[in-house]
Amino acid sequence: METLLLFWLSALFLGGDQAHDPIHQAWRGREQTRQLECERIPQAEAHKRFPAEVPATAMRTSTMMELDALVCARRVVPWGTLHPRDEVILSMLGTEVAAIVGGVAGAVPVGSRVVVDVSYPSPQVAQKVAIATRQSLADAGHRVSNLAPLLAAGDVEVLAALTPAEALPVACARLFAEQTLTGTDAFVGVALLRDNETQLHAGLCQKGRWQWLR
Amino acid sequence: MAPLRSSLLSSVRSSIRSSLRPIVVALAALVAVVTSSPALAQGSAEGLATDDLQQAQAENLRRDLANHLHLRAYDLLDELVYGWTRAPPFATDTAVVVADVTVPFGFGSGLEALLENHLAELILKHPETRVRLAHCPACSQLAVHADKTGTVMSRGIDAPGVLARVGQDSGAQHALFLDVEAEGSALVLRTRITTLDDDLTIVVSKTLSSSTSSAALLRSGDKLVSAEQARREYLDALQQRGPLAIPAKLSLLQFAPPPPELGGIGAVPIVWLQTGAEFNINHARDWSGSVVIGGTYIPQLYNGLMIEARLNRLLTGASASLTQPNLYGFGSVSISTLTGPLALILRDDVPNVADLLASSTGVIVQTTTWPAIGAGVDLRIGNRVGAAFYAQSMPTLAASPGIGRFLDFGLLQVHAIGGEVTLWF
Repeated sequence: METLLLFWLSALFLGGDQAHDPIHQAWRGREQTRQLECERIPQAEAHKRFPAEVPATAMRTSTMMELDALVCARRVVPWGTLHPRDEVILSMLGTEVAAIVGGVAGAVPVGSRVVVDVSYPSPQVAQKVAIATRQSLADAGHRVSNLAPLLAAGDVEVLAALTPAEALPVACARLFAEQTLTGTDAFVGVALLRDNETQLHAGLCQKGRWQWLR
Repeated sequence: MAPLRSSLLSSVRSSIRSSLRPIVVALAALVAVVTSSPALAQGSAEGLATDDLQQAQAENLRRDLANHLHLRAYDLLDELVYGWTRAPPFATDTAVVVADVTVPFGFGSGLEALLENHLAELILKHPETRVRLAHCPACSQLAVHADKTGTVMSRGIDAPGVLARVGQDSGAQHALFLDVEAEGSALVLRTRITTLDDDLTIVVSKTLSSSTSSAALLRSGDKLVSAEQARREYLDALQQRGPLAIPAKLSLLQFAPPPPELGGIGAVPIVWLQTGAEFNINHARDWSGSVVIGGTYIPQLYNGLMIEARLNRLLTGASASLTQPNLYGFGSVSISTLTGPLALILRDDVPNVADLLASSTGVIVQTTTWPAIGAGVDLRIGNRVGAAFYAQSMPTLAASPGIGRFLDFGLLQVHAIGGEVTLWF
């Protein structure tokens, strides 16, 4: 019993440093370790963000060698909670939307009203993608409507029978034909073209003409 | 990975079905009985549809993480409203309807309500934002409107023109939409204020991410400060603690009772009053060292002095918490000297009555000095008050018949245990 007690006491002292090191978490299993997202940043930046944990750079040390810190944070929503495709899309939402907005920039005249709609298998994720796209377009200086464009019930019935790749150009034409969109209005359509892919596609509709951006 | 797993499982199930159907039916009945308890049913993931499994996981996620998530979301809201106090979104006081608050999928309406309430609290406490919240219960309700162009069913906020036509207009000209989304390890807050007309044009837009702010801003909602200012206060709080502290301790040391076969006399506890200096190596206060000197005086029984050096190691986390108790482990070396009748008991032989009488009357002065090594744990609150428990080994007193052993590791024996209360200045 005493030997076991001595072992645990020594483990307490030696384990202190390792408690927050993601490498030393073998007992937590692979699944737990996968939930960490890590980035390597310079010591000065790490000290700025985590002053209590990372010491300031010492002048002598910094001239002799470059030290860095591995900053790990646990995912807010662990892998395996949602549909795998949705998890990937939501994890990269900012990056994906930035790429789409980058394609729209310059193609839409300044002052034009921009409307956004998203075609995605999950309505909740579609809403998130639409919010992020509208917000990103607004941040980029576009005049963005927070509403999705509406089509007549007959149009919706026809579009529902088409694949997203076929439906978006048709929807573009119908939006202008029904005068839901007019003049210099622009429609940005975001869609997942295949159920098993993890990249969002987008196109731009102006004056009833559809153009794929991505 | 889930689709692959489910497709593999379904192919295995179909092959089983074709060849072993009767056995499978019997086993399924047995499994159904065994897994009828909720705990076991949760474990049998294969028996659940993928949607049900995800629903169960989402429930677990909501229970486990909502408390932590809302604090990070609060921090982003603080940052948002602080930004509005510096650069108000409107030139004059403007009524705004909170139209929609959305949170990461699976966290539910409870978190939405928390965020909406926190935002309302911040805006009410900071009129300099020039945002006035307006009440609009019809905005979130389903509205059905039919006219010559068709019938539209939507939330009121998505058809403001309809609200105005049916007399449910809140009087506000703007609507506020909040969306919080988890992107990997970062939490992203997307805020937009739109005109409250048929177009809902976005007029104010702000995106904030937790990955670009410091880990803990420690801001109070009563008086918002910038992230930089909050960080400066945090650093001040760290630095005000200083590397050097003066502890004052009251310690009680109890020797192990002697084994009956040796016929020794058990020693009474020793009370030490100690003070010294403690040095923290860094702001994280994960390692520290201390040197204390102590004295004791019990009339007619003993008086003595001691000096002890300790090395403390934080066991709860990578850095000492400012607000939560911190547990340290420590190792120590000390040397103590005791004079008086009690010192007789620490000798290598059993004192007789004559020795005790001579010592208590001052005819002979017995002094015993011993080194000790120790280890223990120290619970500290706010680095101002602490309580410790420790064990000591005293190799030179091992032969004393008046001292037993609490634990015996062979080479290392625990001869005494103690407790102490400490105040730091």
